[in-house]
Amino acid sequence: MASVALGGVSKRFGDTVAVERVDLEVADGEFLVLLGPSGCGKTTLLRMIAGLEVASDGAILIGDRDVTRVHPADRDVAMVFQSYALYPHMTVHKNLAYGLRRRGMPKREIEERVAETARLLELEPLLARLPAQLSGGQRQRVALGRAIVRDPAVFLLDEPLSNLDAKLRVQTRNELIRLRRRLAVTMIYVTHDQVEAMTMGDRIVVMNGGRVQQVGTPLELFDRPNNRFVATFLGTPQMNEIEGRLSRASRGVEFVAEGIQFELPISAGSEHPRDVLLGIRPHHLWAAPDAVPGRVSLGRGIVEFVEHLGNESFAYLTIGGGQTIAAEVEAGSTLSVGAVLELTTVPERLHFFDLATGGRLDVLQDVGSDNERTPVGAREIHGEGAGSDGDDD
Amino acid sequence: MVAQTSLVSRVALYTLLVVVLGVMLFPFFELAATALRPTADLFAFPPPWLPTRPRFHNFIDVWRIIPLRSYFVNTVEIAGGTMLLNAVAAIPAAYALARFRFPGRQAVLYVVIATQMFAPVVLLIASFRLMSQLGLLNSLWGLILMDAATTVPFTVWMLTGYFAALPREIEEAAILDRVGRWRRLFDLFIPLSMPGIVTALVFTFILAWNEFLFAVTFVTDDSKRPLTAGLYTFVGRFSTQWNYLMAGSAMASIPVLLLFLVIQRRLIAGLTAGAVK
Repeated sequence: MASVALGGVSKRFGDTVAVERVDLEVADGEFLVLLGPSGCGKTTLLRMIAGLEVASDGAILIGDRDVTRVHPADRDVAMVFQSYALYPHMTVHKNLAYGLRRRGMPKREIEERVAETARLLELEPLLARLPAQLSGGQRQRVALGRAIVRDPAVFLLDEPLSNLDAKLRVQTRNELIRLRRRLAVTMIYVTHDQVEAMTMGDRIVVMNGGRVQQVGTPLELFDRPNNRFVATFLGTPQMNEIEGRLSRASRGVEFVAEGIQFELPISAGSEHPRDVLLGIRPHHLWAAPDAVPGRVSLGRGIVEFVEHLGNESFAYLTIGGGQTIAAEVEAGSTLSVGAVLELTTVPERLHFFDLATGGRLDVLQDVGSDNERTPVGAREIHGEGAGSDGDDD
Repeated sequence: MVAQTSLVSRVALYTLLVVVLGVMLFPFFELAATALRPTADLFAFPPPWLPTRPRFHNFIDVWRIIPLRSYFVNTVEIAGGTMLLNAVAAIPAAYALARFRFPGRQAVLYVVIATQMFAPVVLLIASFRLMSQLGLLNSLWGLILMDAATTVPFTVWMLTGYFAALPREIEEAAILDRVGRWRRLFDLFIPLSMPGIVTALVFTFILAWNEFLFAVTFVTDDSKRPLTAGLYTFVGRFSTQWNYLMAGSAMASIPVLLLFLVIQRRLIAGLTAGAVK
């Protein structure tokens, strides 16, 4: 086990900057997830930690040791590849033992370690098989085993679940979480799947365009996204974005967009008026036939279609400016297309971003304390059913 | 209407195929027929299509008239040596070209291909002088060296395609497993590319087996002659003993034919693997 620290790490391929000045600290025993879309630099960053790519700039420390120029084999890291990269001509046993043999470990110890790893991952009946004779899930376990058997300081996992079918992916994800608790090792895990990131990571690093966008716990990222990218990348359906203008008003600040106008009872900062993007997650935007007193109203919307996901349903509505936004409706709701619904939300769930830079504006950071409101969670909104009982707050 | 057109075009296509096949197979027919002709048939005019009385004894006579056994042994040594030399030179070269990043890598690959553009005869005089200076005329080693020199580029090109097709992640997993470069070659690349390696090497064996130009130019000592040059002795200044030449050729072709049958499918796969990469 060891901590990992990156200081100003960059990677350039010719004129292309794949990773730009990344600073990051991974605590000993932490499960850190690198999350981002394809080509965001997450895999390149992982490969630099592994030593498979040489950093163009910056320093990489594992424990207290600067490993920036150290050969991959001497960094005491193990990696699980997306394609598993098993040696196709070697049996499972040989796949597990090969790395240990190359490290000159005594035969008896190799056998002990292979046996122990096989037991841990339930690979014992498969030891004599070749990778081609294994199912996808079994191959994945062998790839994991090849990393575990080495007992490295740091585990690096590059989208290890992406080649599995949906059901097996969930199952393996849970196995990985259990395994990780049992081994209590430092893990750095690359994925583009936000569900994997949210369920597995102690902390998540969201990357885009080679840069770190935000580092935080899953809930921090979800509730207080640093910028538009993080806000819209996390959460399904995607966060609604409405362009508008924030300005001073008699009772605080006023948000005005085409067909939308509401006031927030907070003290206005000096920078108003300014052009902003209002962000609201569909889970935090409620569409119902009647307005709910005490909530912020975004006006009315016309139902275009309804998406039923089983345990929840979302309506896609056209609002004043002609824009389509998603809002939660009662699960299994039998709304007809063209129905007119009132859209309401609570101030705590509004996000404001600077229209030009996309950076978060902490317009609302005082809403909770100044007005002594109880933070309203998504669950509370869910729990209100159709909202037809009307009363709230 | 549509069916009719397609029937007509199909008939035309098959007719064309039969004609092309006939043209291609005719030399083999002639080889087999001539090998069985009694000497009298050779001078008949017009020559009969088929031997008047098939004479299988021609095949036995050849062994008596020329030292065919020695030719066979020499040819096996030359083709085998060429194949081994190819393995020793081309496998590491292809590995380097497929996996190492170094300046001029692409240029080397182009040069490798460019060498294949020269007909061997262009290099004949220069090669003769080189062999003469090295004292390798009239020696099997001279032929092995020349045959290897002309076949290595092809082998390198073909194996580069095979090695490049091996997933990079497998090699990276090995790097993390502390497996050095040479060990990666022997533990991963060679075993995993075995079908390609066998195909490429057997192909060089066949090329060396059939090589004629260097054999007749560099070797005058009958005891050092390979089959191709040895059989050529049936071609005399005033007359050619066609029946013996063809009987000898038929026997010399059998090992090649068998080897080719073994590798032909993989050879095509190997060629395309090299082409696509």
